[in-house]
Amino acid sequence: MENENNGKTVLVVDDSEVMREMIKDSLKDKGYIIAGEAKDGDEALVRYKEYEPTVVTMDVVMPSTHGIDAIKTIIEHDPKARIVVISGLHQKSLVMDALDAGARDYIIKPFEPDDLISAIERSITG
Amino acid sequence: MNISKYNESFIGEANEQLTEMNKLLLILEKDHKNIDALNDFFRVIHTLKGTSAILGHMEIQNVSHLMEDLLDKLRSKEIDFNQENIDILFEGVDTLETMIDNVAKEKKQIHGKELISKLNASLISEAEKTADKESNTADEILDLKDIIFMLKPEEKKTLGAEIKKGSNTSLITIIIDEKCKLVEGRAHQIFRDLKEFGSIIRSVPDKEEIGILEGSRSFQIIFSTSKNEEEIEDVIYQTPEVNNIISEPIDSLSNQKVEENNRSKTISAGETIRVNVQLLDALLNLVGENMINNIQINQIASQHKNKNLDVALKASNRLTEDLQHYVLQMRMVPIDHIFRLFPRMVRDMAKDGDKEINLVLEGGDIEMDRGLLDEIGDSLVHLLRNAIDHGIEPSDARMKAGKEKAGTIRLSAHRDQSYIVIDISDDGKGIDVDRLTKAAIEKGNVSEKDAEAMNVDERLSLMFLPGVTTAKEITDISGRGVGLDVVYSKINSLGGTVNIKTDVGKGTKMTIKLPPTMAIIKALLINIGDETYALPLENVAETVLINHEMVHTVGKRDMFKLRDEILPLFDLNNEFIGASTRDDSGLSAVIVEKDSTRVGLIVNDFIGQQEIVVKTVGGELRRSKYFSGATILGDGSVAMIIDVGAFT
Repeated sequence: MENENNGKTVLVVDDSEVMREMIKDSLKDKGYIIAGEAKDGDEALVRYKEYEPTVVTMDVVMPSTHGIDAIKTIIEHDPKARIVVISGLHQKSLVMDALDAGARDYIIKPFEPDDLISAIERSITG
Repeated sequence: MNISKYNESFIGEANEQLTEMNKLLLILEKDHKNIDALNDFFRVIHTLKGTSAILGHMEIQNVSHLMEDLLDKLRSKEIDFNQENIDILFEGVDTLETMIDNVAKEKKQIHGKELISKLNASLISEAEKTADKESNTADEILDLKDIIFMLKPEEKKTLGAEIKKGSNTSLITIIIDEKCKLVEGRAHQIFRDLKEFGSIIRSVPDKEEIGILEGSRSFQIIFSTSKNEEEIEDVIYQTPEVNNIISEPIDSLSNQKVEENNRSKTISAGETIRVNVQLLDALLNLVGENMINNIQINQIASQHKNKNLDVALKASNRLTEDLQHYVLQMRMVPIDHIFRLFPRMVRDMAKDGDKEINLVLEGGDIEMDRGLLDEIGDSLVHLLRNAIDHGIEPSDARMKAGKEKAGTIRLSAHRDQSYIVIDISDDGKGIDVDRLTKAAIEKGNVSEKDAEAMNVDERLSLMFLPGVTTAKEITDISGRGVGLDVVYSKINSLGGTVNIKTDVGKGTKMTIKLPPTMAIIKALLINIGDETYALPLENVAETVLINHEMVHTVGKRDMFKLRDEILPLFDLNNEFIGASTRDDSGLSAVIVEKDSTRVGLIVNDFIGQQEIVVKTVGGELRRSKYFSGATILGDGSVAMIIDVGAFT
């Protein structure tokens, strides 16, 4: 258990339950606290306001509100929000859009748990 | 894949590469330590190797590969740079030239066995064989110099302004970790972050192209900022997966130098395309035919007096004029296209003749019509050969005469109003006019009596008569007395002139003066007998009507007085038809002028002024001194273009 991550909370946004579980497991292993999860962009904003997490992981392709729009509304609500985008290699341009919208960092699926952790760490320290 | 269609551009590109290699070798021959030239040479041969391999020209690939190996070893100082290596490389370039020529002419390819064994020998003598040092990334990291080449004019302007403002401008090369899955994403982050601290003037590759190539994981930017290098590197390192950053400051001085040297290159790199000259010629011909056709239509329209037709025709005429203008523009190329062939040629000839010669080229950026340039190439070669062989003395003779050991030949082009002037001057021994005159008399080109009456300039121009030479012995280079007359008539047929000035012991200067284009000229159309002829308008000073009383016969010559000037008068009816058809109503005369000599030409009638397309004539007509070419008129008939030089 890595104590340095105590108290650091993560909101996991993904429309796939399998992905959410996998992300949550990877984070928990490293001592992060799962603040909560959301399965679409609309819910993401609600949960963000509710939990005020340290970091958000955000899938860019989701039903109803698009990941990009969700990033925009969250940043609008909290300009200091730290969002790490998760994208497939086929949505390259979405990565750029997400970065323009205010995402701190990105990782590309498929990824190793370490990739995710280091992206989250960077987004916190950076 | 059908590769034969790429051969044409391959040959064009390869020929440019050969010229470049020759140029670089000449630099290296003088300065073995010139790393830039060595690197450039390496880059050029590397490219040639690659393209020839793709197109299956294995012989070319083979030779360039070996040359590349040799260059690589010279570069890494595994092999000492000596004259022997230079000579092998020169030989290599020559072999490549032959090979590329064989590709162009679809001839059987040579293997260059002798050269290959020489190259191998030069490589093997250094025992150690190093592994192939091919880089393992798909990127080519460019020099600052190369990137500045690539800048668009507005980018260059911005960079210049930033430097002037005192901003920290630098070329930053960023290398992303090979584990990165989306290099463009990292680039995007870096661009986003940097924009807060300054401005990105240029990125190589363009931002949209970063990371597209398989294995590509680096990019370069020109960045200007008020922050210092360290602060900027910190900003970039914030982005994950940045492996390495190389910053190279851009300071005004070196930058400007590069900018000046390569202005024309920048244009050719980004904003031009290669077009087959034959296509350009075909296009020009079509424009010419179209003009002639337009003239015909105009003539028909003038009989119909239909206002709408006239308006439409006017528009059509204007469009044709514009078209012509742009086609002619397209045909303009810098004179450097042939100038750059000369350093190598002069080097070889100087070496053969055991002379030391510096060739100075000036005004290579002057543009002229491609066709005209092709036409004068041989003449320039000839004049250069003359300067090398007869002008510049051997080193010992020069030292004895108190001159610099190495002779200088200066080839310089400049504009004089609408004309293009090319000077070929040397600091050699000059021309012995008396000996020249004697030679001309011996050859029977001029009688002793006539020669006596000549002034120095006239005697000098005896050089342009067939067979006259002062050379004591015939050499490989020149001296057979064949040539200067050919040069003279060639330049004349192009509407130009050749002049010589010489100073015994000090040198000779040949001056060629040419009209900027030969394809379409303005002309005055005239009638002689039943025929129409064209006089180039640039030679026409004025047209006058004169009375018989104004004409005086002096000796065999008709003269007349125009204001305060006495001018010789030629009746073109006499000259061309052999019979005067003058009536008593007065004479129509055109005052023409060439090389500041003016004469009057009597014609039957003036028809008017018109643009004409110059076509060259062949056979007997070419040998006639009266005509420089022909054109086709609106009614489809042919009109000869009169060479005013025949009368002046």
